[in-house]
Amino acid sequence: MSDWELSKENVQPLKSGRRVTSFSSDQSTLKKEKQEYESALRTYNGDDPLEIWHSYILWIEQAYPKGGKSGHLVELCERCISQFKDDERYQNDQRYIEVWIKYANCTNDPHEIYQFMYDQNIGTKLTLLYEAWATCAEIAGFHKKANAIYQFGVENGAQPYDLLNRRQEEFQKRIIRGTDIRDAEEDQMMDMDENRSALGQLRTVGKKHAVPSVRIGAAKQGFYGGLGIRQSANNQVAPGFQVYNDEISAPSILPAQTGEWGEMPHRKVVNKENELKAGPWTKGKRFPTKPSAVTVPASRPSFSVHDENPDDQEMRTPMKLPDVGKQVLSSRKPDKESDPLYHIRIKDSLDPNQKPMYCKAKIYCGADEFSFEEIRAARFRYKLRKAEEKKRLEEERREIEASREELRRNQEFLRLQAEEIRLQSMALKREQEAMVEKCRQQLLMHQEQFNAERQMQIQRQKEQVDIDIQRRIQQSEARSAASTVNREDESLSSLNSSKRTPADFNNSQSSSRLSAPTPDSLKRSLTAPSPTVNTQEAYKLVMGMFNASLEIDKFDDCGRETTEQGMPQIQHGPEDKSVPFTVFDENSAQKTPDTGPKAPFAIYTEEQGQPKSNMSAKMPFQIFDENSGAHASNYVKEPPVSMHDDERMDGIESQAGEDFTIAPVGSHQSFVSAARCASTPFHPENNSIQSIPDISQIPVDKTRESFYVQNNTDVKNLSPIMEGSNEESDGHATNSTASSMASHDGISKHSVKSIRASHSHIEPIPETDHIPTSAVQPKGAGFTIFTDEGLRIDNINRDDDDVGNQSEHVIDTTTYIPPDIDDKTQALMSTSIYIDPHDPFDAETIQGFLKKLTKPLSSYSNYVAEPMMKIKSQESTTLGGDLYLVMDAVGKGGNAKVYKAEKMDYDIDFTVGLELNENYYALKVQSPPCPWELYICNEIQDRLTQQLHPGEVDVRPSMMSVEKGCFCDDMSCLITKYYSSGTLLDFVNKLSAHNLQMEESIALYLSIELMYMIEKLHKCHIIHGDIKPDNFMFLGLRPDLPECSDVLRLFAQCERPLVLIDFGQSIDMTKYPSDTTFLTKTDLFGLVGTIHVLLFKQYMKVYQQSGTWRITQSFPRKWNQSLWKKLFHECLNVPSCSQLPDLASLRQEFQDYFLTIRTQYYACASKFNSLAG
Amino acid sequence: MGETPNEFKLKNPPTDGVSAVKFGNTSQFLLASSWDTSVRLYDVVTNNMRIKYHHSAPVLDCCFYDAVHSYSGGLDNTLKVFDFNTNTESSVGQHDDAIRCVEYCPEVNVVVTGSWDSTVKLWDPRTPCAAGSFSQPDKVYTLSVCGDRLVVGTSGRRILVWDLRNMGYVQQRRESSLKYQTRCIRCFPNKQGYVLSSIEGRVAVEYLDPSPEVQKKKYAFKCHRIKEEGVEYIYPVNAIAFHNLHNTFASGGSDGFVNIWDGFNKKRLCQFHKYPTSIASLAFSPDGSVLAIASSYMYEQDEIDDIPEDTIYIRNVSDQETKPKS
Repeated sequence: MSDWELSKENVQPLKSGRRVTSFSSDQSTLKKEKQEYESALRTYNGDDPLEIWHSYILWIEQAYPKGGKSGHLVELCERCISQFKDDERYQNDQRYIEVWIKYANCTNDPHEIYQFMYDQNIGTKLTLLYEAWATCAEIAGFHKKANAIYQFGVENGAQPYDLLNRRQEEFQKRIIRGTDIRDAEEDQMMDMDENRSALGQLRTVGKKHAVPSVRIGAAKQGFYGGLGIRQSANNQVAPGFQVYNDEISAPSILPAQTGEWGEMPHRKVVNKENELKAGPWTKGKRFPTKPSAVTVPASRPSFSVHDENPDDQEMRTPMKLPDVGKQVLSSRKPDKESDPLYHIRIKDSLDPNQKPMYCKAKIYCGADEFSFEEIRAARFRYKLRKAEEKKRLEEERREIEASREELRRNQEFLRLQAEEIRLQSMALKREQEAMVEKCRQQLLMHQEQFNAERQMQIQRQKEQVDIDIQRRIQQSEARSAASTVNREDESLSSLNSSKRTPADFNNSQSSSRLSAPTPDSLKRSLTAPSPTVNTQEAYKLVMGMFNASLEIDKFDDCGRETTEQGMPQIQHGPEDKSVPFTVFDENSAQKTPDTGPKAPFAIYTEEQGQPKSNMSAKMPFQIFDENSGAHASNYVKEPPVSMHDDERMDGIESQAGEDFTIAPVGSHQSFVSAARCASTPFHPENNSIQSIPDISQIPVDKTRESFYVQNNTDVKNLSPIMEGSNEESDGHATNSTASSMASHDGISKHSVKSIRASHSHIEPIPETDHIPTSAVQPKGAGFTIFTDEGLRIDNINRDDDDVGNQSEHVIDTTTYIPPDIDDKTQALMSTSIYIDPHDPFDAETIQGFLKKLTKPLSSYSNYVAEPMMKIKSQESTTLGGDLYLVMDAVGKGGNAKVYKAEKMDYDIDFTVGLELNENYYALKVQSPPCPWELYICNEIQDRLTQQLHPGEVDVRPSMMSVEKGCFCDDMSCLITKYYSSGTLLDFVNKLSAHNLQMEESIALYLSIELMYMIEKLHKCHIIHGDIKPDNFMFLGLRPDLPECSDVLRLFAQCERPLVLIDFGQSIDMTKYPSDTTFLTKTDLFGLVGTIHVLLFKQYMKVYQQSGTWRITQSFPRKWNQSLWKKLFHECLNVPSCSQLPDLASLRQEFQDYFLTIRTQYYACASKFNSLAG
Repeated sequence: MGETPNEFKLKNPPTDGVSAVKFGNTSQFLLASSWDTSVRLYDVVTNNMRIKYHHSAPVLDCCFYDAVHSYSGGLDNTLKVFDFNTNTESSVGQHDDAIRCVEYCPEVNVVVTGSWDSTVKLWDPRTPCAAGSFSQPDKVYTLSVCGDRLVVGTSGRRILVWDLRNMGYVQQRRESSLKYQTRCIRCFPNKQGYVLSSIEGRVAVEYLDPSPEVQKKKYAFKCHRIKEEGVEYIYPVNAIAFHNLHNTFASGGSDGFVNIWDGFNKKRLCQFHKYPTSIASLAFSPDGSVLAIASSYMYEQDEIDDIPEDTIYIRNVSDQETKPKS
C-alpha cells in the first residue's frame, strides 16, 4: 500500500472508479492474472470473444492504475478494436464501443477516431459514441460541432435515447450558462474568495471570444496550468509535445490549449458527413485540393505532433481520409503511436506476398505476445481443465446415478415387502374366511341336529296327539259331519300347501312401526305407539278380516271334517313367522320356556274359562306347519295364554265352528295374521307373517277350537315394529326376545329366513321381510297370543298375563278359520286385492307417482331444496332460509326422527313473549327423504279446500300441514307446527295416571272429531294408513264450545282439538283404480281402534264371533252402548269393498247424541283440560 | 520419408511433441523432453531408449548435469532432477509459472531455469537447491549459457545478458534486432556472441561485446522462408544448435528444413532434406559428429487435421556439411 501512497498522484482516475484492491496487488499476482487473461484470449472458443477482451481491458485499467501504460492498455485496445473491426455483431455492441472510446481517449486525436467510427458505422446506434464524441468536442470547444454530434445521435436513433437527450440538454444548458464541462466533472475545490488576478488572461468562450462574467477560477486562462497567457488563434506555438495537465481527467485528452477556439469546421464539412455515407477507408488518398497536406510532417516522430493548423486539419480531414496511407509504405519503422489506427490499417495493408506460416494473430493477440509454447500450454491447460470438469461432471453424474439406483433398489425392496404383506394379509383373510365358513358349517350342522331332534320330538308328539285326537274324534263324532272333514282336510291341506308368505307384508317406508309394550302393569299408560296398520300385509289381513268370503260355509264344514278326521300331526307351531300366532304345543314337555314371538293380537279362545291347566284338554289340535321343521328351535312351547280378562269379556262367546268370518284374505294367510299385522307393531326384520296355520290341523271341534298358534318368530330379532317415536318400543322386541331367548338362540334369523324362503306368496303381494310378529306370550291354557307389555328384555314377566297390558290391538283369531283357498278363491282374492303390480306402499311406486304429477312437487310453495342439511340436537341449522335452533328429539320412528326446534325469527315482537308456541316447530327428519308425505299433506289441504263448503266443518286444521319441506339428497325435513300438548295417547295416559275414567261426553266429542277427520279425509280419497292414538296430536278440549243448537254448526264453529299427523304411509286413492276401496277399511279399523283406546285406555282386542268381529271391551253401562256398539260394529264388519260404512251418518248420530249430553261435556272438559294441558 | 544411411529415427520417440533434445558430454546419450510429459534418455548408438521418467505436465526443456543426472522442467512449474543410476527423480524447486528453459552452466556449476513467470532461477546441482531467483522484465522464452554468462531472451523482444557469477544486476539489456518475437537464442561456442532467431523467418547474429565496432558487425538474415508462386511463406525458426568445433550453427524451422550456417561468413553451408514437420529442436553432439533433429508439429498454425508423427532423427553429420568453407 505504501507504494501506492507514494505514487498516488500517478493514478489515473477512472470515471467508473477504481478498486482499491488493485492498488495493493503485487507484481507476481498481477503477472499471473495477466497471463491468465492472455491465455484465455487465446484459448477461448466460445461465441463471444469480445467478452474476454472486454473483461481483460477492464482488468488492465484497474490493475494498472497509472494509466495502463505498463499494462499496455492502448495496445490492447488497439488490438481489440482491430480484431473485431469487421465483426458485424459487435458493430453496435456496448462493450466494443467502450473499448473504442477508451482507445480514443488514449490517443492524441479522439476526434479522428470518433469520426472514423462514425464513418465506419461503428457504434452509430449507441449513445456512448455520441456522448464521448460530443464531450470531446465540447472540451475542445467545438460547441456547434458538439451539438451537431448530438444531432447525429438523435437522427441515428441512438440508444439509450433518453440518455442522449439528457446529455444534449445538459450540454445545451452548459452552453447557455457558459460553464465548462470540465468544471462540471471536477470538484470545484476552488476557493471562491479568490481575487481576480490582474493582468491575467481569461479563457474565452464561444465564437465571439466572449469572456464569462465569472472571472476567477476556471475562467482564468492559467487556472489549469500553463502560463495563463492567451494564445492567439493564429500563431500558436505548438510546444511540439503534449503538455501534461493535471486537470485533464483522462490521459491524452486534448489539452485546453489546443484547438479550443473551436473553429467550427465548416458546416459544409460537417454536413458532408451526413451526405456522404461512410465509405471504405482509402489509403493514402488525399484530396488534391488540400495543399496543406504538407503541414503533416513527413517524418513522424514517436510522439504526437501538434498540428498548428487545426482548422486545416479539420478541413483536411473530412473524416474520410486518414492521412496515414503513407506510413504503410514507408521504409521507416512504423510508429505505432503516430497513427492511432495504424495497426488497424496495417493489418489490412500487409504485403499480400508475405504469409506468415504461423498464427500471428495468436501470437500478438492481447497486450502481451505469446510464444508457441505458451499458446500450446494455454490450450493444454484449457483442455486439462475441461477434462477435469468433465470428469467431475461425470463423477457427479455417476453419483447421481448411483443414488438413483439406490433409490430404485429401495423402492423395489419396499414394493416387494408390500407385496409380501399383501399376500400375507390375503392369506390371513382366507384363513379367516375358512374359519368363518367352518363355524357356519358347524352352526348348520348343529341346527340340522337340532331340527332333527325336533322332528323327532314333533313326531313323538304327533303320535301322542294322534292318539289324543283319535280319542277326541271319537268323542266328537256325533257333532261333526263326516263329510266336512274331508273338505276341511282339503282346504287345510291346500292351505297348507299354499305358500304362505311371511313376506307379504310389504313394509313400506314407515311400516316398521312398532308398538312396544309399556313395561309394567295395566295401570301404566299406553305409552307404546299404536300398532301400525301400515303394511300391505296388514291391509290384506284387515281386508281379509273385513271381507267375508263365501267360503265360510265351506270352511265350516271343513272345520268339522278336519276334526273328525282327526287332526293329523300336531305341529309345533311355527316359529316360522308364517303364522302370526303361536301354535301351541301341548307338549309342554318341551322345554321352550317362553313363547315365540308375540302375536300381534290376542287369539281368543272361547274356552277362556279354562285356565292354563286345562290347556292340554283344550287343545284339540295344533296347527302344523310343515315348514316349521327348520325352526323347531323356535318353537314356542308354551301353552297358549288364555285371555285373562275373561271376566271382562262381555258377551263375547266363541262359537266355534259356527260362524266364521272368513277372510278371503288376499293372501293365503289367515285373517289372524293379517289382522295382527294390521294392528301390530312389527319389526321390519322380524315380521314374517306367520304362515297360515295348517288348517288341516285345525280341530273341527269347534268348542275347543282354538288356534294355538305358536309364533316362533325369531324372538330375538323381534324388536317388532319399532315406531321409533317411543323409546320403549324396544319392549316389544324385547318381549319376544325375552321369551324366546331361552329357547332358541341364534337360530332366529336364520330360521326366519328359511321360513320365508320356503314360502312363496301370492302374486300381488311381494314378499317382504316385514312380518309382524310379536312375541307371543301364551300363558296359561291358552292360546291367546298377545303381547304382554310386561315382557321386556330386562324384566321378563312371564307371569304377567294381564291382558290389559297389551300394546296393540289384538285380533282374536281363535274362532277364525281361514277359508279354504282353492283356485277360485284365489282368483277372487287376487282380483279383489289386485290393484297394481305394486302395492301401494312400494317406494318406487311412490316415486313414480311423484314424478308423474302434473304439478310437480318442487313447484309447491312449501318445497325447498337444500343442498345439504344437518340437523342435530342442540345445534342450529338453516332450513328454507330460516334459522332454527334444534332442540331435543321428541320422537323416533323407523327412519324418521322428530325434533323440536325453535325458529330463530328475530323479527318477532318480543313484547308478545317468546313463550308462544308459535315459534316452536317440529322437524320431522327422515332419511332417506320422504317427499310423499309433503305431497300428501299438500294434497289434503288442497282437496279439503276444494271440498269445503261454507258452514261445514273445516278439518283442515286437523290435518298436519307442512310449513316447509326441505329436501336434500339423503334426507328430508318437514317443518310443522309444534304441538306441545302431546298426542291423544299421551292424553289417555295422563288420564290413567290421574285415575280418571273417560267421560262419555268427552269421548263422544272426540270421536265425532275423529270421524269428521276420517270422513273428510276419505272424501279426498286419501287413506292415512296408520290411524292410531299416537298419530293424533291433542290440542286440548275446548271447554267453551259455542252454544248452538245446530250441532253441525256447533262443530263447524269450534276449533279442532286434534291434528292428524304422520302421513308417510298414506295412500292417494286417486292414483289407483276405483275398485281399490279396501284400503279405506284400514283407516276405519284404525279409527275405532283409536276410539277404543280413548274409551278404554286399552288397545282394542277383537275377536270373531259368529262371523262378526267384536271387541272384547264392553262399554260402561251408563253410556249409550248401542251407539257405540254400532260404530264399532260398522267399522269392524264391513260387508264388502263396495259397502263401506257411512261414516257421515254415524257421525251424525253421534252428534245428535252429543247434543243431548252437551252439558256433561262442559263440566268435564275443563277438568280434563287442566290435566291435558 | 525415408531414412538416409547417415540418419535414423530414434526408436521409442515421445508420443507427443518433442520440446527439446540435448546431448550431454557424450555423443552417446541424448535427452529428449516432450509434451507427453516424459523425459527420455536415448542411447543413440544403439538406438534404444534407456530411461524414461515423467513429469505431471508437459516438459518444456531438459539438460544434462552430468552423465548421471538430468534436469527437466515444464508446465508443472517444477524443476526435477533425475538420477539415471538410481532411477530416482526428485523435485528441486518451483517456479510460479511454467519452466521454459533449463540449462546447465558448467563453468559456474549451476543449473539455470527460465520461466514464464519472468524469472530466472539458479540451482545448485550439488544439493540440489535453489540458488537464486532473478526477475526478468518479461516472460523468459529462451536462454543460453555462454561461458559464465547467461543470455536470456524474453517476450517483448528483449534480451538480457547476465553474469552468472554476479547476478545482482543485468549486464546488458538489449532489444532484439529482429522485429518479431524471439524464438531461440544460442551462444557461440567461442563466447563471442549469440545467434537469435525469431518467429518471422529471420536469424540474427549478435555480439556480446557492447562496443560499437563489434556491434556493427551484427547482422540478420532471412531464412526458412519458402517462396512459392510469388508468395513468400514465412516460418518461425525454432531451433538453433552450434557445432562446437566449427562454430557453425544449424537452424531448424517450422518449414521442416535444417540449414547449416556459417555465421561469420554469412553463408549457408548446407540444407538437409525436409523433415516431416517442423523442427522443434536441434542438438549437436559434443564432438560435432551427430546432429539430433527433433521433428514434431508445434501447433504454429493451431490444430491441423493431420498431425505428423513426432520423431527424433539422429544424423551423422560430416565435416563437409558443417565445416565452414573458406
